[in-house]
Amino acid sequence: MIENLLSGFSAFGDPLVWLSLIFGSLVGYLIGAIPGLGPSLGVALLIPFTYGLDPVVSIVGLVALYAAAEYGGAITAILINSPGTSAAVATAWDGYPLSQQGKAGEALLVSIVTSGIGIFISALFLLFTAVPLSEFALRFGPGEYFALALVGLSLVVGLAEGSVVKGAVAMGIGLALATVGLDTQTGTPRFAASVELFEGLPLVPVLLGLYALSEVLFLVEEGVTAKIKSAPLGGWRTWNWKGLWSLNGVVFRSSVLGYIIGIIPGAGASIASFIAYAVAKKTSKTPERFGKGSIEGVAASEAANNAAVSGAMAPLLALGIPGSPTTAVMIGALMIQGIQPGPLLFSRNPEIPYTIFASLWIGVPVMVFIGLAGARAWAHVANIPGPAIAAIVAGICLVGAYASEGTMFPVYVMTAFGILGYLLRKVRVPLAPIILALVLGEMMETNFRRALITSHGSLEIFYTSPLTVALLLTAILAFALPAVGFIRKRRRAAMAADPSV
Amino acid sequence: MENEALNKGEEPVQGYVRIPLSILEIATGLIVLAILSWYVVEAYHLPKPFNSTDVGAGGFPLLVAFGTGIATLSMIGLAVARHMGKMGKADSRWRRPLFVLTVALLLVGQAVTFETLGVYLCTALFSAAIMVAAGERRILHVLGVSIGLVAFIYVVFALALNVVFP
Repeated sequence: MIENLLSGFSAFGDPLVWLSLIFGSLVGYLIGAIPGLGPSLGVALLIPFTYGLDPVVSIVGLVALYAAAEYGGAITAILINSPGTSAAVATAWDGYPLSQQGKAGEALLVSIVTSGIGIFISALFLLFTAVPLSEFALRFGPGEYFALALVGLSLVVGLAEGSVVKGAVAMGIGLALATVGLDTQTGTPRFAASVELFEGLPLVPVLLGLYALSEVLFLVEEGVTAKIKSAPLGGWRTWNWKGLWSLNGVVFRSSVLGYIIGIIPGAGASIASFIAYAVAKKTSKTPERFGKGSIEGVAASEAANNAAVSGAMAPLLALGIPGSPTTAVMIGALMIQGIQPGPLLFSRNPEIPYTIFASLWIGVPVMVFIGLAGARAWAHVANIPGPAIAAIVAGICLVGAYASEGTMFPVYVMTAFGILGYLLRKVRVPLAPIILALVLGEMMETNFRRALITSHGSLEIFYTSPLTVALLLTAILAFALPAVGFIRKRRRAAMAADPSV
Repeated sequence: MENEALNKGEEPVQGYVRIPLSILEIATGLIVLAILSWYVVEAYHLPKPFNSTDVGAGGFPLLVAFGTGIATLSMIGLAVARHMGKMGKADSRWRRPLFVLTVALLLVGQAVTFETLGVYLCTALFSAAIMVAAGERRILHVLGVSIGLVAFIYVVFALALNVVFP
């Protein structure tokens, strides 16, 4: 492991890797600071820029963007009470009141430093859990892999925003889309109206359409918004570093929580920050200050949402199962480089996971420096007019889709999925299960059919292995528990409306 | 449906259309069911498996269609219950629908004319048109963003990444 880790660090001997790290961080801050744009869109938009680049250079840029975008959301949350990402909502609860008290600088400093610490601690956890997990996963057979993919999907559906039923419909749409193209076992064309579809739906244009182009239409809905005045950056000088040390307990606890929650597919940085915030409030000596300008609240939320970035990487690298929409997009980026995430990644392409570990650590000081140096500039980013962002995103989507294959077909696919994504979001159908199912669909089908072949057509392979049974039960629970919660909620509402019920 | 002005007469088109979510869910569900029916027919007609241990090319799609069908029917059922007032109602707001429709058409136009116009002219024209359709009226902003975007695409994609565009 040490040897591989050293080779991961040695990748930073290449100036291009540094350039990618800095560029990814800058774009990440930019995307994170603009309310409405999130890391998934950022990573999807960056993919076209990685065509032809070395996989290591590409992945460093993408990871830096993911981490920086999660942090970038905090800057606008603190300065203008407009969280750039949903993961920064809890940061705004205390960050903005601190700004109003003239302590914006202090809140920013704490948020940037605790974000960095959160990533640093969680990357350590990632190193010590992803490697053993991938070694364990090498023992998986096709039955276990099928069940694992189902767990990933069901957790994403169960934890999806909105209803579980719509999440399940979205998952079904994604799985159906994944079956388009030549059948991998028999070579039979399926649901392919044209020759271009024989290789299946091109992933990058679908990602660009669903995540980036659909956002263009939402930006048009916003129109030209009024400029928001940022709070002055007070409190830099009054802040003492001993105060930061006093937050070590809350930062460590939140980082661990964030990492664990980040591992769960579908949970993500937002849930991590809310839970860490609630735990910090419960364990604080001054819980009454939460919501009114508690520095502990800012630290808990930021350490957790950034730690969730490393958490989401664990199932991606070790099992090939994306833990969040952003890592699902990242799988697309790795696939176009010819790299298949999963347990074999550590033996076939060890430079990729170990460079990711190294980049998470090396990226911390770079991210903290860029964040602190440009805090004021990032706050102004939120004032870039919506129409300009819409035009830029649409332009990059267009050339990105074309450049992915050098033909017009991906451009049409991207445009169709952009409009479809907008319509689905209007009906509140979540997009994450579609992407995850599209990414995992082929793996699911292949392993389902392989499992049946190895068991001579008998379904017993799915209930004789304890691990498969445990995984399938988890999948069923992930679907059933939110549904039970929904029924209970309805019953309680009915009881409140009519006590005789 | 209702149409309300947001800016009190400043820009009459800047309103929103409110559609009951249940109606949209029922419509979406029916469209999904129609596509699923086609999907099932196609899957059913795929070649049968070579041996009894495999489910064949159509087996997994049929399973997917079965699960998705149940989920879609549940969504329609819940939407009908909500529409009949047995559950809480919700609306879907479509803000600035004319602007959104115009930009959606521009996006389609951008894709269709990309090969004919070439990357630079197409990007410049459509980025400017999208900005105007999205409500931007400052001509210098529109020109600046369009020219800047074209220059950016040329430097990054054509020069640095050697992408050959039409």
